[in-house]
Amino acid sequence: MHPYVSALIGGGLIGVSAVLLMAFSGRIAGISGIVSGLLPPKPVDDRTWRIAFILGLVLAPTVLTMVTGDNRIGAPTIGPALLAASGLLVGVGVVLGSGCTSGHGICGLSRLSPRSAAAVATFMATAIVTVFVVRHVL
Amino acid sequence: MREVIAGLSTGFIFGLGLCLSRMTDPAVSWQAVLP
Repeated sequence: MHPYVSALIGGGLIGVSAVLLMAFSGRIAGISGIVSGLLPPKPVDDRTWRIAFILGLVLAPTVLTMVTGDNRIGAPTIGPALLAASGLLVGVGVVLGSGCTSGHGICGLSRLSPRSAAAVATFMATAIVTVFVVRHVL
Repeated sequence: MREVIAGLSTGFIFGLGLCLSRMTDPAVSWQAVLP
């Protein structure tokens, strides 16, 4: 399958998932929000669907690997230390920005939220600048 | 039970979508268009 076709199908599935979660549970499919709702000190009384969602999220590449022999994710291209530091920065960013790429980029933009549009423009611009700096400056 | 099925199914579909939309080939990755 051509990568663009695969990406088109993948993007469609992500959109369908977000719509289903919104339609049936009235919730936003923002991964950082779903995960942070499980962490202290934030008390939540709706842990069940959050745990189930994350379980489904992890189950998908596992099943894909069992069926096709490849989960299409690939190995990380950077070391564990840089990966951890990057994850920490993303974590700080999603708390400050009140959402992550999925929450703002998928759900927020499709709901025509100006705040999400500002967040997406900011993190995309930052990503482009970061790639340029890593490739040409450092 | 309804919560579990809703969470599990939507999470699975979301995860499948993430896997399929991930472009591991650098030639077609969005990073390829950056300078």
